[in-house]
Parts: sequence; C-alpha cells; structure tokens
Amino acid sequence: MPLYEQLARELRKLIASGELKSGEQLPSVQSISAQLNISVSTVRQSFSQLTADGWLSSQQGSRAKVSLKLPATGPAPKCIEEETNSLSFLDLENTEGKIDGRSKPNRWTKRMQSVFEGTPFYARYDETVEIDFRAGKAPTEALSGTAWQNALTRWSARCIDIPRGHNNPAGMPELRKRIAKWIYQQRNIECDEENIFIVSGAQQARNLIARLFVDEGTSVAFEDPGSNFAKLSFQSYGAKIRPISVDGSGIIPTELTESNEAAPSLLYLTPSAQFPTGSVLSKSRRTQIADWAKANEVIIVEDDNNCEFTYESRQSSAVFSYAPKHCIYIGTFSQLLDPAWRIAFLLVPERMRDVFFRSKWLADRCTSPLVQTLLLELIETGFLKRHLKKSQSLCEERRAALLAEISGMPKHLVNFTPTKGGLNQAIWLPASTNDIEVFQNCFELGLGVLPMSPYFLRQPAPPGILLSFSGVSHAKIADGVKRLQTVLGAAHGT
Amino acid sequence: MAHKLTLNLDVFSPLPLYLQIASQVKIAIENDRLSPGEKLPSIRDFAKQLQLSQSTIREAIDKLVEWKLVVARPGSGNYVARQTNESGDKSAQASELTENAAPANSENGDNESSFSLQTFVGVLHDLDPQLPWSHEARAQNSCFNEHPFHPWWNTELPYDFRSGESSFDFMQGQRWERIISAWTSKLSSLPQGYSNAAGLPELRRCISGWLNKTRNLQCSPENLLITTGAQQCRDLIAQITTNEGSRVVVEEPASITDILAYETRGARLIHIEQDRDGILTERLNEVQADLMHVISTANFPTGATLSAERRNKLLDWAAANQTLVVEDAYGAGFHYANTEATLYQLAQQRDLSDFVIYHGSFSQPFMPALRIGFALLPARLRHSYFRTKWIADRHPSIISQTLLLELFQEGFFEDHFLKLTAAATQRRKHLLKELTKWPPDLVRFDDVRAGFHQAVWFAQSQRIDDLLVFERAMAAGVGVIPISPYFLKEKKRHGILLNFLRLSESDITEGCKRLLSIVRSCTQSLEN
Repeated sequence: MPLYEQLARELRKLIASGELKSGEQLPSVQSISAQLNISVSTVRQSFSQLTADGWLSSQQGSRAKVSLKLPATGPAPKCIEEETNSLSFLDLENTEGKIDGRSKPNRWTKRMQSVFEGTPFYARYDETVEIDFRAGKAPTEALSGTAWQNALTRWSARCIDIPRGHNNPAGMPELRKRIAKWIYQQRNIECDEENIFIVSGAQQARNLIARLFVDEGTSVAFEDPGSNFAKLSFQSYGAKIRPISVDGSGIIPTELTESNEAAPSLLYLTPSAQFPTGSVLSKSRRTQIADWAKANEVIIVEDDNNCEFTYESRQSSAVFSYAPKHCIYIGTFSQLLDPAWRIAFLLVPERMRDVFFRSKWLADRCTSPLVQTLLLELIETGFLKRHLKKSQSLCEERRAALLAEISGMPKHLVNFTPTKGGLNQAIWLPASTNDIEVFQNCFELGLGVLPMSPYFLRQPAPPGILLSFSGVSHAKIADGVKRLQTVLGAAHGT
Repeated sequence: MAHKLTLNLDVFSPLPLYLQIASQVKIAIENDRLSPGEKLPSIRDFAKQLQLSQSTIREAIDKLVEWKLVVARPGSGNYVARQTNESGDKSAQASELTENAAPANSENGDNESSFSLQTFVGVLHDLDPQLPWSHEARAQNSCFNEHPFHPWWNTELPYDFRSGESSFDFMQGQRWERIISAWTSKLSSLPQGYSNAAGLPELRRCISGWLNKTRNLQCSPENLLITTGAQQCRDLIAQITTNEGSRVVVEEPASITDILAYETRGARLIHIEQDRDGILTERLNEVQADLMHVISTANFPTGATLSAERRNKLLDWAAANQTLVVEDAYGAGFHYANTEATLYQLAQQRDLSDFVIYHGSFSQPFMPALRIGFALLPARLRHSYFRTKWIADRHPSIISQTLLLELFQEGFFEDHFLKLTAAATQRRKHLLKELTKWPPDLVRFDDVRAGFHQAVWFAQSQRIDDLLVFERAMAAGVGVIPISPYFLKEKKRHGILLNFLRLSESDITEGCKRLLSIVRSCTQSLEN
C-alpha cells in the first residue's frame, strides 16, 4: 500500500473512532510532514483522498477540518480501482444490460448496446495469468534500458517548453513531415504530408471513418475471420457487415469481384498481417482489389497494423499505393511502442482531406502535442528505427521458438501454418473441440490464450486458439505449450 | 514590370498560410500576372506588406523554389523562374483555392512586385459527390457552410486577444523542470498496454478532490470521467444523449463548437437569447426540450454569468420537463465577484442530480497541450459513455494523464491555478482601465464577472461591422474575436471579445490603442 494510503487509512480510523471530531481542525500539512518524516506531497495526497471521499473538508488557504457530515460507515465504499476495472474496456466481456429501466437511452446507445451484446468476447483481460499469450503487442523489453531512458530525458527537455503553441487539428507539421518520410522509407508510400492526420490511436482513425461514411444499413465488407473491435466500430454506426473469406493469402477477391450483390461502400482490410489468421495479402490480390475498388467507387480502409512484422518474405507495397484516391490508410505505432499513448496516423485521399480536418477538430480538437513531440523525438533521433529492429528480431526469435514447440505437438490435436505477418500464431483444433472451453481450461492452468471462433462472422466457425508470441519469453513459451497440450489432451481423451 | 498583387488568405482554412501564399503566387505566375525574371519583394518587405511573420513567408518561398517556380539567388533575392517547370510541380493544393489573385494598378515605379493582404472568413466547401458520405458527414458539412466561422487560428499576432491560452511564465524554473523530469522518468516504469476508458483512478481522485475543494461540487471520483479535452466531452455527450429530431436549447449567441456536436446528429436547435445575466429563462417556459446546453460561469462569447435567480428557474424548468442540462464549466475558477453555486450543485441539493451533466477542461487556460477534460455524469449515462469512449479512442493518453497527476501530487497544479487567477484579476483590471478610456458613444461593455474574456459591444448607432474590425485588426497585428458570427439567428449584434490572459499589461495598452483607432476607422468608413 502506498504511503499516502497508509496515512489516509490511519486518519480515517482516528475519525471513525471519534478521536478526531467533526469540525476539528487538523495540523498543517507541513507539521504532519515534519512529525512523521514523510514528504509534504504525500500528506497532501492523503488529504486530497480523504477530502474526495468526504472525510475531510478543506477550504483553499485554510487548514483541513474533519467533515461535519461524515460518510456513512457500514459497507465499505466501493474501491474506485475495482469499479474502473470493470468499467474499462475489459467490461466488454460483461454483456449484461446495464441501462436502467427508468431512463431512455438514445438511439446510438441502444444500437451500440445491442452490437456489443451480439459480439462474443472472451479474454478475461482483467485477470492476470502466469504465462500470457493474449497481449498482441511488441516485446516490452525493447522499450526499456538506458537507450529508452535517454530518449525520455531528451524528450523531457523538450516538454519543459511545450505548453505553448497553436494546435493544428491535423497534427504538428514537423511530425507529419517525418511520418511522410517514414512511410516512404518503410512502406514505399509516396504521399503529400498535408494528407496525413495525427490521431489518438488507430481506434480514433476507424471511428472518424465510420462517422463520415457509415449510416444505418451501409454495407461494409469485412474480413472473416476478423477483428471484433474493428467490426464494432463500424457496426455501432449501423453498418451491415458483409463477410469476405480469408485464406493463406489474405481475403479472397473473387467474393467481391464476382459477386452479384451491389458493391459495398467500404472494404476494411488488414493486408500486412491479417488478424487473426496471420496471412499476408498477396500482391496479385492487392492489384485485383485496387482495380475493383476504383471501378466500383469503393473506399478501402487499409489498416496496416503490424506491417512492421512480416516473416518469410518481403513486405508488399501498401494497397494505398495501388489506389491512392480510393484508399484510407491507417498506420499505428501502438503495437511497436505503447498503446496507452494513443497515437496513430491517417493518410487520406486529397478529396477527403477537408472533411477529415473538420471532423477531427469536432472530435477532440487535436491529439495531445505532448504525445506528438514524444513520437517526433523518437523518429528524429533514430530511436524508433533502432527500436523497430530490436523488436523485429525479438519477434522473429519468439515466433521461431513457438513454432518449434508446437511442431512437437501431436498432429491429431493441432494444425497450423506458420504466421506470415503480425504477432500472433493461429492454431486450429479438431472440429469437435469447443475452443471456448479450451480457453477457460487454459486459464485454470495459468495460461492465457484467445479462442478463435468468436472472430468468425459465419457459423459454424472452426475451433482454434490464438497465441500472441511477441510478449512471451523463450522459457515461458515452452512451458506454455506444455500446458496447452495438457488441456487439449484432456479435451480429446489422451 | 512591377505589379501589385492582392493575396486572398483564408485565416480559417485548414491549409497553412504559407501554402495558401505559395499556391496563389503560383497561380499568378502561371497566369502571367508575374513575369519570368521579375523580382519578388525581400522576405522582410513581403512579410511587412502582408503583416505576417517572416518565417511564414520564408516557408512559402521555399515551397515555390521546390516547385521550381521561383529561383533564389543568394545575396540578390528571389526571382520568378525563367522557364516554369510543370513536371516538377505536384501542387494540387493550388486547385483548391479558387480565389485568384487579382492584378491591381501599380503606382510604384520600382522593379519589385508588391503584395497586399485580404483575409477571408471561411470558405464554402462541397463534398465530393462521388463518395458515399454519411448523414453525419453531410450534416457536418452543411453546418460548417452555414456558419462559415470556425476559428482554428492560423497566424501568430503580436497583440493577440484571441487565444484562451495564457502566456505566463509559471511553467518554468527549477520546480517545473524537476516535475517534468520526475514525470518522464516514471513513464519508463509504467505498465504497458491499454488503460481505463474512464481515466486513471488516481487522477480521477485528484480531480474530484480539487473540484470539491475549490468549487464545492461534492462529486465522487466514481462519476468523474476523464476525456481527451473539453471538445471531446461535448462530442461524446451529444453522441450518447441526442437523437435525430431531439430538441436542444442553446444560448444565443453561442460558440459553433458547442452546437455542431448536436446539430451534426440531427438535433433541432432552439436558440434563446441572453443578456448580462445569462440566458433569458422566462423564455424557457414557451419551449419543451430534451436537452439544454448552458455555459453558466462565463459565457462564450458574451462573457455573461448566469444569475442565481435564473439558475434556480432553469432547474425548475428542467425538472418540470425532464430536460437534461449540460453545464459547461468554461471559465470556472476565475471569479471577480460573488461565486454562484453551479447548476450541478443546486441540482444535488434539489435531488435532481440525474438531470445535470457538468464538464470542464484542464487544457484551457491551464495547459492546452494536455488535452484533458472531465465530465461528471449521472449514473444512468455512464455505461453508455464508457462504451462510446472506447469506440471513440479507447481512453485518454497515459502521457497527458500522468503529467497532470504529477502536477497535482506535487501541489504544482493548485499553486499554478492560484497564480493564474491572481494574474487574471490584475489583467482584467488593467484591460477595463484601458477600455473605460474609449468613447462611450462608440462601445458599451459590462465588467465581466468571471472567466477570462471581456466582451466589448459596438454602439448600434455607429454601425460597426465586427468582421471588418477583425480583419483590419489582424493586419495591424492585433487579434480579436468578432462576436457577430456567433449569433446564429437573424438578429446579430456586433462586438469583439478580448481575452485578457495572454497579453502583458503593456501589450494590453498597446493592443487597445491600436484597436481603438481601428474601431474608429470602421465607423468612418461606414459613414462615408
């Protein structure tokens, strides 16, 4: 328990027991700090917690007093951490309706509610496990050590002067310039930096796109299987999702080009590292899809998440390069750095630029310049490039280690193709397996995996599990696969 | 042959000014209004003629050089290229700007071209008809076109009364540097991965504690949510409360930012006028509404503070009609007279807390770079909010949140806020002192009771156009906010809004001096 909480707890006891009476003035922060030999800020912190919880009342400029109206004792007040854990995104697993009967939820709320409830979600993210294959982000080790410390120190010098300046909704011009250069070098995309928007994470990018192009009934072609989170973004605005099958070379274009149905308005793609299968969209399919989009005025949403992590072959050019007037490109640094920073970018065709500009302004004015300068610093100093190399080689190693381990598993239990892109390895299970049970049973053994069937749009879905290898060390990979084999063996009576 | 060209710059355009300049010079060259080999004014003169900074002009020239339309001869100056190279040009931006530079008769005999500036307030845009825009996109576009005043400030001005940003030197020195370095070094040990949609629990506790202490709100950290700035609060609140056809009461005049969130979602707006005591609550009795948006402390743009009597009347009406009241805390914490109880607080006392949302910001005027706002939401809306926030952008950035937390925990934020309010009191006094020197038949103003903007109304008899004042002021290096564009109904009143946080006392004096002569010039031009 942090020091300030200990102090707060002791003070609370004194008040509850009546030793400190309602209205009584407390000693000054400075004198408590001196008496207990703890810092002034710690005392302040416990005071503000007690004030927030209603135990103390403090007026500006005068000493804190014990509240006249004390909080009811009895059942312990709900701890805010508990509440927010259940109220954060992790709550998606809890599909119970929470809108109380008296209030009238608006149309958006009702639709979103039903969309969330219609999306099975199994992850138990709010629980920690010993060996966790659920994370889906780059190795955290790469973002530590002296190089990282030094980068933060350099950036902090920049932050000292930061609080000034105009906030351009599209982002800081220097950063947009750097990103244009970065995607030219990394992805061979040629673009005008004026068409780049800095956004608060790839989710905001998807949200802005959905707001501008999705209405009730708008047809959105979507990878099947595909990312539930991405799907929710479009469905919340009323999209009708049209499933397009995925094989080892990405989505199957003939399901679009030779379909009798009218062309959809949007096509959502994760071509560099299809989620969750890990396939990479082949070059011939990229051109095929681009040509079809141009001919049918379809907007391609190219979510290039994890484009940095491809294996076995060279990266293909982005779909954007084949259809620059019909493609919105989403690039993110979340997986590579830390998703909690909330920074990503959008590259839009010029004909959409002004509308995105206004939309971003309406959504949140601009993405925090603090985060923007951090990214700028990391790109300018070459940190990001070195960090990328380090992450790539760690991922290669871990992928190889995982593949070596699962190759040793009995063939009648698992079937897999080595992942071509991204941070996840999909493993298919015998048709009779219930992958959600496997997920739950793994959890019992301290092993975090994700079930595959919830990512499928059409039923019956083939059972499988998803292992994100990027965040798991060598030793744990071997141990984890052993536990997995135990669970699968039990499920199939071996 | 020397030319005088007028450049039409849209100060509210998303295109940066340097690009607008470069594009228009490009058009002038292509249309032979500038001849090959002709010398452009020096960067200093160019900047002086346009009343813009030299760095903006330099960027524009760089762009023209990049497009191979202008040749820079070191030591001599910049010249229109002899042969323009179309192939090297990828400026589609130019086509965006349909307003061409028009030639004007030149009377000066030298060999240099000269430029003058004409500013525009917003340009209408059409949506590309080939694209499948949503209702919301169309609504957004027509709202923007209907109210073509959307100030994303594009220029820096020496006497800037526009921005809500403060210019104090509180955020420097050893203490500040220590905090920044403590904060950044903590960042490296933070757990990675997604965080809470509602914000960090410790920060929610700090903010609610501070609000309870300074604004007597009696809120709990559970119902306090952290957002990505106040703008996102408005947007998400509108998203979870408004339907197509919802009736929403807004103040007249009002900021477009406050309104667009509702209007783009199909709400029907009911505009109710205000006077010096805020919105005319007696008019409320004539209407029924689902929602009401009100800035109770210091209205933008009128600066009015809602009187205690009207606060109660407003709540009576809301309770009778079951109307949800969204109380925007803009300007809260800056008080120069009695502090009125917030609607949120009054609603709690009357057991109406389910009907009031309170929201505010830590960006303006404290630190815009933070992009942190907060909302106090009734329990019935919270669950929808969390999901909507998760759809919008998952959660507020951990970077901003940890900085604000550090500032709270070190006591810096509170100290800073006290200094800020003390300084605001000083500068308000100084501004009012300057303004009282203005002829009373020219302008009229009520001393602002809270916030950091002073509205100055032009006497109707003078028929002064505030947009003209705005344009002329800008050319003279003075930034003001014209008020008439914020009137969304027919009857507009003209005036200007002056932020008194940003400028030093001597700059306020100089800015006011320049402004007064501009305002005078605007009356004369109408009389003539």
